[in-house]
Amino acid sequence: MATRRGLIAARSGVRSPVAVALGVAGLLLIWEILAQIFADLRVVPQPWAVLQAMWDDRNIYSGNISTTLSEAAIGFFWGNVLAVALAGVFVQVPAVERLLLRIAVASYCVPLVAIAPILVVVLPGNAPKEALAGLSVFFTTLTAAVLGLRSADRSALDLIHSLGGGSFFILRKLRLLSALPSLFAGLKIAAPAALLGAIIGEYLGSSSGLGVMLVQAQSSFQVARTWAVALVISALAGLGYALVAIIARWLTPWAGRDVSVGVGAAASAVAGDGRARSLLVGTVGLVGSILLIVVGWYAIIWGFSLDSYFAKTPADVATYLFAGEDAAEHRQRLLAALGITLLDAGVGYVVGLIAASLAAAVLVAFRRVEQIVLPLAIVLRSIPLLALTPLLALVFGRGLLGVTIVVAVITFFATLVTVSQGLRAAPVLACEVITSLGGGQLTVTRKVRLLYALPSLFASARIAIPGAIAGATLAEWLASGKGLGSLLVSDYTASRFAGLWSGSVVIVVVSVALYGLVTALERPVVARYAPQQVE
Amino acid sequence: MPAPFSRRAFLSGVGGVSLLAAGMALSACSSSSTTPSASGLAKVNFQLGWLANVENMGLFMADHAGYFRDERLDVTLTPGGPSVVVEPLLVSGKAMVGLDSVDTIAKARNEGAALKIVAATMQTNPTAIMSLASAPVRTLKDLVGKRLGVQQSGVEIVNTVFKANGIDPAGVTIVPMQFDPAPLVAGDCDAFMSLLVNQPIQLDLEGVKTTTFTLAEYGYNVWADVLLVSEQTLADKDKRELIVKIVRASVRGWQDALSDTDAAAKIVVEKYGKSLNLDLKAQQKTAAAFQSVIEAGDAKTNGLLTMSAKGIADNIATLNSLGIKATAEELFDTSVLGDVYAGKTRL
Repeated sequence: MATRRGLIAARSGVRSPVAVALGVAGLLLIWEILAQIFADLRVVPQPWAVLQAMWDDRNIYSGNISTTLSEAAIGFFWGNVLAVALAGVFVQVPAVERLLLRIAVASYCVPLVAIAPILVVVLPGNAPKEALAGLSVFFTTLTAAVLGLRSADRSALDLIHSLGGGSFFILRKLRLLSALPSLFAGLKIAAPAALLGAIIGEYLGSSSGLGVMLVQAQSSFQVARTWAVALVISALAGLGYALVAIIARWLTPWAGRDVSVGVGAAASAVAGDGRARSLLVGTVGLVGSILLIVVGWYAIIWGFSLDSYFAKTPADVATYLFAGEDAAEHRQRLLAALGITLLDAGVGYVVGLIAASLAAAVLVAFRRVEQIVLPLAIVLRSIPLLALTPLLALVFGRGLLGVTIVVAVITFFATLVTVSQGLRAAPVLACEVITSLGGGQLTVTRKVRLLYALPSLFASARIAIPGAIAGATLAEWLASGKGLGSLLVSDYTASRFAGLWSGSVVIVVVSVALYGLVTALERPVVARYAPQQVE
Repeated sequence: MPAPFSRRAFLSGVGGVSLLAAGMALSACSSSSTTPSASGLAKVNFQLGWLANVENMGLFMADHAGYFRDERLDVTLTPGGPSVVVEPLLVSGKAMVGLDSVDTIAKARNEGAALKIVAATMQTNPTAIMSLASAPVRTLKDLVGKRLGVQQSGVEIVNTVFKANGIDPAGVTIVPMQFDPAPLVAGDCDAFMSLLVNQPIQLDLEGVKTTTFTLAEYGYNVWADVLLVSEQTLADKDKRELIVKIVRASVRGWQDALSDTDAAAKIVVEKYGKSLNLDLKAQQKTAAAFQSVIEAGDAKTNGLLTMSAKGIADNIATLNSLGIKATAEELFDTSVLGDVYAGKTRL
């Protein structure tokens, strides 16, 4: 056993300084070549110019970094604490999940332009930025934690049950332990996301912070400085990711080299649940969620006595969509835009999913690749798209391709991290059976790991599909000028808040519906191909 | 900076629904923007539209020279940004005074925001169409068949200006842009909607020569960076008095700033925009350009931040041509400036 572990450790790639140096040199070379190619367009600065810009700003970085990091850290902490606590409640009391899950999805995909005015009016000081950081991690961590808590090996669960262990005992002894790898995968996604959330929050107005530096540099066409700030942001995001990864490795040394054989343990537990009954439960949950949202919505508006000019009620939205004299026209306008957005999101999601799954498979088979792919993915995920889009739009255009790239950038990272965690969750013994029979790493991935990754693939879809819609609206605003994203921002700039809120409701409803669809598909598929993980 | 895990921080981390709980706790302490501080100064939150740079140098000078303090005011100049929300902050009382452009405020009013404009910083609208000197676009007509980069908020404006000048908007390709002029330099568009006083200077300093013309030449005559307050504030006698004081201090600050824009830019760079490490030369050039739009038109004769009857009429005419309903009485309140200047033209 010991030798086997040693082997695995060696294969997983202890970074040699030479390899790292070569990698950095290679990147610099590519960068320099790109800078030469794009010299006339002035979109890619020389590496040395970026270093110079960093040096010139050396006195102001510490202050701006501490502003942004403290916003991100506060959001990261509370967003994750609440997400994990709620995940625990969801697993213990499924009824709560039925009521609150849709609201959690809504918190993830509600357009920023709709909630930003509410946040700045309702929360004091820096709290809106911290809240945006918290909102950016809450749902992804919730999903990861629920997946983790549910991933406890079925046979082990049955064993504890048969020995008389109750559900809380199981939660403590088994679920929490088996939840850790998935939870840490979620926290890895959350680290860059919290930073991005804080920076986007700073776009609302702030006296210091990396987001302010970025806006200042961009609006002044200081390209080298823009890149310098973006690189610092990425480095911080990477550090956050690495910190979580180190803690994860320290706390869950078994993750990724699980020697248990869980395959084929138990059949689906939902079999006993009658179809009619589950339909009834589902309907009650749906109605309950809608009621909760409507009541909460009114309560916020009345509780804070928000002005009706920017805070629209459910009744205002209903009037806008169904009762007002222009309602039919409003609906038509929104539906037409929705069609474009769904196409944008769909294509972007599929491309992002395929790219991320392939990258994850390669990553797991050849660990060395991770050192190249992951930093790039982190860079893409941590720089605000507001800063990145001009470059992306220039390279890929402002049509479907450009929009697809933006959406894929948003969905890629979460899918990559979640799926590679799932691929690694395959038991070592099963993998080694293949290797001992002469199969290569790719065969192992194909025959064993993919099966184990199925639940995480679905978990990633739950995050990535609402993410794709959010990404599509962002790309439409920043690049294409079509679809719901563009419509919402144009309503916003003209203070047409009824249109803005109605559009936001449409986005949330569609995202929640798609989320429900993924969940509905998940059970039968996972039960068929990865039954050990179905409860 | 409060302790990271204070109660406030806790509440702020919660998603939408739980904001309700936060609100019950916070609404008691955050409802007013004018609580008197311990020193006897009235606390005022002044919401700016953009980052702390020379665009707001007059206000920073008012703070630097102690003009706010002279009026027994403790003013916080809160910077804005690309996603700033000025009107909701004003309407909800979280800011007492704010800066925005006349058309944005008029649209918000038409959607039910009870706001009024009390003073106008930029007398000439600085919105400009900028193109590369190597491929210049010199007139509005030249834009036909070209790609124009515009922020979402500018799309309606530019389309209306086209129509008003007998140009079919369909003949110009609108490309969505933000505040970053990089796409123009990279050739992603042929012209870029910018601020005359700002981006051409920045590009010039970065070695990119540009050609510009303003939309004001084509009938887009609305003031920019106007001071707006809520009707509720104006109706309250004590609060209105605070507004008079704020505007008076602001006028004095702008007078100082424009009398020596280089010195004002230096103070902005070294004090108020310190965390941004702004380029002094760029800020000084920009400050000089701002002078040409602030100390312009009737402001030269009536005093800075003025809102002359003719200027108001021009604004209303432009708004109406943009299809925005507005009347002078509803949108503007000139009485504050009247109290500020009290018959004089310089303070």
